[in-house]
Amino acid sequence: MSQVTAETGIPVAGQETIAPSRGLQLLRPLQLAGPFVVALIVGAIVLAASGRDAAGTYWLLLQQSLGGPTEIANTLVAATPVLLTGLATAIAFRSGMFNVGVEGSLYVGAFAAAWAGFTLTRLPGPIVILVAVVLAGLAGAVWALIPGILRAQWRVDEVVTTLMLNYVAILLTSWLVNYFFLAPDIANSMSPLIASDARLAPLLPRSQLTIAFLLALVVTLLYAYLFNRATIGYQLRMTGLNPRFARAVGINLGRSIIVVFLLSGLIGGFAGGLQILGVNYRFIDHFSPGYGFTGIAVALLGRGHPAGILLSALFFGALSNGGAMIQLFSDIPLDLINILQGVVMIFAVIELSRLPACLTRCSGCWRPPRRPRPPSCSPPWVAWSTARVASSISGWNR
Amino acid sequence: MTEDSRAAGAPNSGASASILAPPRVRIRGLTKRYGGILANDGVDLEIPRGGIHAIVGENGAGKTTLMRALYGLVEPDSGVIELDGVPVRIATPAQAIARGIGMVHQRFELVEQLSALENLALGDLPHRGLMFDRNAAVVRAREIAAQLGTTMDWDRLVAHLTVGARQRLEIMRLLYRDADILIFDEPTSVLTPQEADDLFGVLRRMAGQGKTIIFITHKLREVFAIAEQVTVMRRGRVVASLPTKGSDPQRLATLIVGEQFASPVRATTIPPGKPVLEVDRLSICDDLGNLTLRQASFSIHAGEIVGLAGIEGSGQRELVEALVGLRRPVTGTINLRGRPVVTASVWERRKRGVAYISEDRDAEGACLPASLAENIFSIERDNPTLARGGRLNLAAIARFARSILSRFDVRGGGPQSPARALSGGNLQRLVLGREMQRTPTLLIAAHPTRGVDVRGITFIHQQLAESRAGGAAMLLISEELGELIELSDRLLVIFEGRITANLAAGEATPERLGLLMTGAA
Repeated sequence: MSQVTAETGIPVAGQETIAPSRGLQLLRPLQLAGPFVVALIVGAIVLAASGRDAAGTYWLLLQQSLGGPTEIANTLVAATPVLLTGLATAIAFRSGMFNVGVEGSLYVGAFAAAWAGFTLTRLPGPIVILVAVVLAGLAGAVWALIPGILRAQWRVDEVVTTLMLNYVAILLTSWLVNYFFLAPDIANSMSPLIASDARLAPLLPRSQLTIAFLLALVVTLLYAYLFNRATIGYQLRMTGLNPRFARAVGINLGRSIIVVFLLSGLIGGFAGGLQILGVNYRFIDHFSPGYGFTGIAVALLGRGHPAGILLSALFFGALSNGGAMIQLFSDIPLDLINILQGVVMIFAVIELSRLPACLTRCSGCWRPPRRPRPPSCSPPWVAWSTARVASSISGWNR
Repeated sequence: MTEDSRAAGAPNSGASASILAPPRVRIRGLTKRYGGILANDGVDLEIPRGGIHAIVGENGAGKTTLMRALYGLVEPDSGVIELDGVPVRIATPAQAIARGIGMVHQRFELVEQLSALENLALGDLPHRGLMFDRNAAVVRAREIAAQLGTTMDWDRLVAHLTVGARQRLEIMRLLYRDADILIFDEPTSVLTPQEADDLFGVLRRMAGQGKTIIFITHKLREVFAIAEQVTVMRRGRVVASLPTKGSDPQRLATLIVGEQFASPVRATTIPPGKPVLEVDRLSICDDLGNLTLRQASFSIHAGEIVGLAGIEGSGQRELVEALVGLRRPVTGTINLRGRPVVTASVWERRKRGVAYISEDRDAEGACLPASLAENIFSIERDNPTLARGGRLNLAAIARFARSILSRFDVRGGGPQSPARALSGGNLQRLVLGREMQRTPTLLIAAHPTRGVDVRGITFIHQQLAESRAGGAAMLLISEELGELIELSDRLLVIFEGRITANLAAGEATPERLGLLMTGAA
């Protein structure tokens, strides 16, 4: 794609040489696969160290996640929410906004959908579904609009606001469900079930694979269209790559920021709403095992590229589905799956910071947003660790 | 020692002296190839100990690559580097520093969050046990400052130092690491004229102390101001190496370009048309809230170039930003063709014919990680053949970009190449082409030739003159007084935020401007 014929190859000061390195480009798929391979090796070491058969475990994991139509369907189900949250996060990241608040949008979106589902019981099913999905998206967008306005109007750091608003969203929905919308005759903190018409019908028997996954694929296509073909996507991309340049050529930064947060929140809200309509059928207090945070990982691993995001969402879906099943058939603890996830992330991030030349060579490649940072510490890692620490405080892996 | 005194006493005899003792640096047959392009093609270079040696050439002539090879940043494909007659292999900057070679890059390599002292000591911290021995560092720092005959606010964070002070700090860092071959890559491109003079003082002093200074530049004035010997590079080869005494700028310019180049044509004076820009009692604050422009009033007519002369930081930047729409003035009005635009956005002004060449090409004028096509498209978003109904027409954008690249002779990449791959001069051609394409009614050109080579400057001047002939009004800001006087129909002088003079083209001389700019007249 990039025909780097630097006139002399004389680099811009402070940069390594920018000689055309076709070799490096051929290596790119390998680089992208690298984190997964290394993670599997480290996982194998951990397994072997705890006296288990690594190859056998992996085989079991593979079988349980991709071994048959039902298994594949369940992997797709598990991938759906993280694909959407990954896209929601990536939209913001590529536009230079470090929105780590997709989890919050997901919660309010989920609650809105559930509310529509158990309140509008007299309407026909398809209409309830439509209303629920629209409400979910709107709720998520409005939720993300708060940090968006703060950032656009008063330059309030969006990392802090979005991260903190996650807890506000989780606790707000918890309060709503516990005090106002508690299902009768149930001890747990759950809302009533949504109308059975309003549930998304399974596409395959004995699975929860619904139209939600197809909708997520459509959103992926729209995401690709946005950044590759749409004028607004071009403006967002330039804003992300160089905000000063964007301003000087007349792009309205404030409007870009608002649009980014609206889109990001919209998709985050969809993620929550579709999860309720297709999987949970009711709002459950603290229901998300960190879909929004896994979305950060998905966006980073996928390098902001639509296909990359889809693949990493499938990977995380397979891990989570296989991991859940593997517990039933062996004594492998779920913690091992978490270790695998963590190791994948660590190596993915190492790749990010070690190969800046690869990421910045062409605009098609994606660069994580720039922000002031301590030396030798890359921004994705900061956000990821903050998100990780924050989520462990709130106990998202219970 | 005897070598030092000889070099200092008779700097121009460097070439003959090299027969007696090996030169400090000798490069033989150095070749470096990037893909299909020879950046250095069998370069031979000898630099005697002590004194200042200039290396000149167009952007992309191979000067920087050669010096980066010497500093261990670039690995040559073939060739030998000798220091004092001994062949050495320099694979990393660390090895270069260990051999006494230091380099000051165009973009400084300092840690902004640390103090000047901490930056100085970084990489070789004096310590007592595990603790940083601050006192030892201070003693060393004072010694070095005294050696240079300059001062430094050691406790200040680098983020708060002026550009000139940062550069001095870079030089001190080299001395701290005991460098005695100091390479400067276009050191004055970021400095104000005053700071540049200070730098020259420091360089002369160091040369007097027996240091070997290699000075990359493309400003001929500087070559004759400080260097004893000059090497001219063209297309990766050394085409001449001669003492500055007995040479002259015209001859050197010919060697650099390889042909006689036409000096910029002073367009014949056309009577100016209607006023395009009218600024009335404009006052502007900078980011810190200081009033940096006070009650400025002036106008620019169609077909007129108005030059703005002033010491850097006199309020020019804020004025430019207010005119373009990047900064909201405190009071005053700006009228564009009779209509007020003070509250109009950048985009609204651009649609009304405002074009803008930023002084900060890398950070504001262009988007380095984006492709050339994307850079060009940035202000063509309302062009219906390139984008319609919110959809980009990628093929049309690439075609459009290609036409601009060829019209403005931008070399070094196609529409899909990243802007980062272009040299400074070519990137400026791209910016110029992008802005000129729309035949602006008002062009704000801030330092349009900064960091551009001789041929590029001529081209840019021609373009500006053509645009003026086409009826554009232009505000030209430059630190090159010669350029201002040559191109401008009228000159404004700004001093401490006030417009203190308004001269017709004939009345302006460098001397007079210099006095006005410093508030002496």
